[in-house]
Amino acid sequence: MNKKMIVYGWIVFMFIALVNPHPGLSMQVTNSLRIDGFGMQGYYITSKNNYLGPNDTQGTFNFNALNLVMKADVDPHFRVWLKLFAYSDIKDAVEVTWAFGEYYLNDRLQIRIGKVKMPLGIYSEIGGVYPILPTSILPLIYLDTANLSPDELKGISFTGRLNQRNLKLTYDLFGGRSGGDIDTATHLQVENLVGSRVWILSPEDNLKLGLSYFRGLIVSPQSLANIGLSHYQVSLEYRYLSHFNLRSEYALHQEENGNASVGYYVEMTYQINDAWLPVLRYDLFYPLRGKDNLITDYQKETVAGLNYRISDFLTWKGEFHFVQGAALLDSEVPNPSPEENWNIFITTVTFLF
Amino acid sequence: MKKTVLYLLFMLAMFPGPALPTGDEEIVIIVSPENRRNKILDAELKSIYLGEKKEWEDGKGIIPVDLDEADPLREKFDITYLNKSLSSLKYYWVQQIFTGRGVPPLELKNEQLVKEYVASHPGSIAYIHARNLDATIRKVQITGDR
Repeated sequence: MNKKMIVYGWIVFMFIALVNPHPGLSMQVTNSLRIDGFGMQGYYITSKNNYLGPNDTQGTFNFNALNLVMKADVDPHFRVWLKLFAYSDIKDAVEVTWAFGEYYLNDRLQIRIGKVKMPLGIYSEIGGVYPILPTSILPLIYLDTANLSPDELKGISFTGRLNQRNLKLTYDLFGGRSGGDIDTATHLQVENLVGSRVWILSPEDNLKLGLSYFRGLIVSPQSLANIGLSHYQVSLEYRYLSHFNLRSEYALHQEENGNASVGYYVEMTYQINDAWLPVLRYDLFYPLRGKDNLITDYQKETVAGLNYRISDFLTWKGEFHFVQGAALLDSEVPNPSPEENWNIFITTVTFLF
Repeated sequence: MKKTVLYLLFMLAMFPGPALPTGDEEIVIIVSPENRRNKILDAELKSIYLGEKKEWEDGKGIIPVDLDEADPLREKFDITYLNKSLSSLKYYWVQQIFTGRGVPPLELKNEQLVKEYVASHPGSIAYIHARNLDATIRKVQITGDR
């Protein structure tokens, strides 16, 4: 998708938003068809290394996204979901993020068939949903350049909720292969992919413990043999009095050739009032566990950000990333001599309708 | 740097949170007269309004009904029964929608419309002020620790 199409897309979005009598809500097209959408336009600048584009040090607006979600209720037990995602960071693209049919058996079991987002940890599913992300750039373990997990899965998944006395449990079991074209995709490509995610919730939902796991075979156009991998992720989310949130995750990604990547982060947000939400995060990632000799062997970030909700459907975000190390610079972006200490500043406006 | 971060976190934790709404008038939970339930657990009510529980015991679909966001009773219900503020609920539903997990309850403008809807939809459930109860709908008792 070229820049003209993104501009046209924004015009269409703004038009729909203006004619929508309830901005901030969805469009219920018919009793069985509902459309939701959001847009994001960002500006970022890096102090030294190129992060997303060739001239980051001068700043760029080449960071935006448009999303549409459509839900059609075919019958009381079967619905179809589709999400379209148009974005522009390193390159302009439009993709079907997910599209699946969901059969609702009961509250304990729903079956999804099609293309779904990988249910992994806290942010894998909501990674592109900018209006609800506390920061515009996700924790390092979720970045495409970290290459820890595929973005989506083509196959089948089972999901549901079980209540046991004072504890609630939600689960996802999934199997299939990651989507995309292995010759062109930048995301990790995995076959024979099976995995699960379990969330254990306290009675008031203020404490959540998540365990995610998947394994499969990494598909690489360069290698003759596929490489087996196992991925483990532990997630913790704590909410205090509905305004203080603590999130933390640890991810370990092991390949059968002995390589292992590891990363973790701690993130805190505080809802001061309906409008203001500051965020702080400490984040660390090693592409090869136990190796930190070069500046490309690790990346550490301290992130300080602020969200301001201008209205129900308009939110502004600003964030500083104080970065040490350069492990996650994109190989498609030229960085002949990366610097160890550098900063990223990002500001975005998200629009929800 | 770490000390600064810790200091900021401490200051944030000390900052007072959003104010809770006040108001003493009783909220009642209502269903259609065709619905056989007399009692409902508060945890069950929360699951219904968060889209986690979608069916009654007889297999009929549950249709939770909300009042408009501008109605003060909505905020009181959200905090009393769902233990969530309006803004955190919005966050929750955006998350649900854009991950293909669910959509928020039907929203109606006022209590009269809510009563009419519940009276004509056997699977529906809603909340109104106690003073607005009448014979077209039925009150269910909320049980459990709250």
